[in-house]
Amino acid sequence: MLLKLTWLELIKISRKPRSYIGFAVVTLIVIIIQFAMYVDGQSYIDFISSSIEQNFLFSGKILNGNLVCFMILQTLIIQIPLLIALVTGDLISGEAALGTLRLVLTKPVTRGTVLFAKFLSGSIYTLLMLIWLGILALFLSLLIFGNGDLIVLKTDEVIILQDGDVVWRFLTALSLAFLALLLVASLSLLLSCFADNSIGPIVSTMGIIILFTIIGTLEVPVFDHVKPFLFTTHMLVWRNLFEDPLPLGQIFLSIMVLMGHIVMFLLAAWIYFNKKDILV
Amino acid sequence: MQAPFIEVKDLTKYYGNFRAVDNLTFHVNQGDIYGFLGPNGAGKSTTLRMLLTLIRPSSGSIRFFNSWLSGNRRMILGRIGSIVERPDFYNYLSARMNLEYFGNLNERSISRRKIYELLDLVGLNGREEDKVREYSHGMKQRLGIAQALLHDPEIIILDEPTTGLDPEGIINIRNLLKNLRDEKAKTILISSHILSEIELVANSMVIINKGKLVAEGRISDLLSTDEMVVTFRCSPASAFKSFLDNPEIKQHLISYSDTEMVLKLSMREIPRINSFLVEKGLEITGIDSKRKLEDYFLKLVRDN
Repeated sequence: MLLKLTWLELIKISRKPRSYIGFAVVTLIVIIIQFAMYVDGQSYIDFISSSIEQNFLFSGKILNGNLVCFMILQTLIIQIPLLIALVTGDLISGEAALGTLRLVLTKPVTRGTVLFAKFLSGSIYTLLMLIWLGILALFLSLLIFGNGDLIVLKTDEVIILQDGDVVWRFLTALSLAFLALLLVASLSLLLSCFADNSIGPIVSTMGIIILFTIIGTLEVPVFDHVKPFLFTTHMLVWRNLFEDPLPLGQIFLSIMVLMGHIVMFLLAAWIYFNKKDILV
Repeated sequence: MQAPFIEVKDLTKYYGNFRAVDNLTFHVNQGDIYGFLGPNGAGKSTTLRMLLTLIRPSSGSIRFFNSWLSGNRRMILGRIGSIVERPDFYNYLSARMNLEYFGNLNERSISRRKIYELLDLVGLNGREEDKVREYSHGMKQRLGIAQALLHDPEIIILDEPTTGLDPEGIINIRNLLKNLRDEKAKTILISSHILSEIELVANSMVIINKGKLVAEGRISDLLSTDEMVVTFRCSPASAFKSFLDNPEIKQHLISYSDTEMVLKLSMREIPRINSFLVEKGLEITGIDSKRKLEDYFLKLVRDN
């Protein structure tokens, strides 16, 4: 029944126009970045590298598909959670607002099955969005800009990754990003259980992510003790894939924190949804 | 003796300190069309939602088919079809796809042929592929009934099923319900505040007000007590006019026309008034006595 219901949920997601907003936005942003880099990328690279050229001599093709893909991911990974929340925040509350939740829950399916089918369908939607992002950001960029070593500039170091050593990092980074986005999906699903309208959970999810991200990026000592406990800090674990050597301990810790949050949010959603009186 | 199909005992629901349903007890037998009556806010929808597991009771028990609802939820809901309040559907899907979706929320799958048959039964043939957002309220109501019949349920629970329907639609639904009981042996629990609707289709009923049971039983039994609304027809026309000021008549008079006079009488007063009119030289051509459910309902609600 869970798989059947998940499939039915996917059909419903596919029939809703809002489900395609995320794909359209991702496509647009990626194409704009690629166009900008194609037209004026070299001067951008010159500007960025000028500060460190006193210490390093760059040779070869710095502006390549791998660098463009890395830039796209840096830009988009912040926005994609918001696009995911647009769909997953609506999964329960949207049905409550529409009145169909009432009808669904009078059928011989358990509330847990309904909830987890929605989470699974939201997860599949998230995965499809990431696959689409991967195709556009990595493969299209490689097609347009060609292959080459990836140069990652950090505040205190420059990391150069050989072209043959990059693709697996991107794919693994996307997998970790998927885990981070599942957290967003589970959070918005939890908030969705509390609401009877579509907008509330979507805005709340976005608000929480933006708030935590701001706290996480503020260089204020008072927040230093809080940052490790913010899930948004660990949602950026994918960036660790572009360090050399890999900080495996940090990556493992972030994976555990993300999974812990997902389980916690889903459990809370399940407990609340099972007890909820359907009054709408 | 066969156990009731639906058995509700001491059902209570609190919202905070407010008691929406108060120790409600009633039972529905197999093959009944059971009316669930009450004014707006009486607790009808809350009760039906508890029967369908949408709301958790604060206390009390519910049994279907001689099994407790808690612990047998899936088995029981698989044998019930329902509409609760508005018939809401996925507006972005067609009527057929909506029925396919809801049909698939059951262990037994539903064939497309069955779906077309049901849409035909409720008069939506030719509109199967239209998106539900293009449907009127009445069409959604009919689609709701088709949805309730998807898995050939033994019990059908309908919350205000004729709301928003035009007169022809109301008659169609009424006939459909009678047909489902008489030819397919369905047990139907129907709530409404349109009392004449219940009177026309139901054989038993419960009346609630402010969450409490006011009366329960067979409609014929409930209406055999108390006062009757009696219509006298006479010949020649206009003969009643001379009696309107007579104290014997005036105290019972509800309305009159040239050929009819409607009086409110107890059962034993009917022959006495009839004799009085005959003695006064009127030719009574017909007497129609009826205990209107509206009167009964309104009186009970008022008294309560």
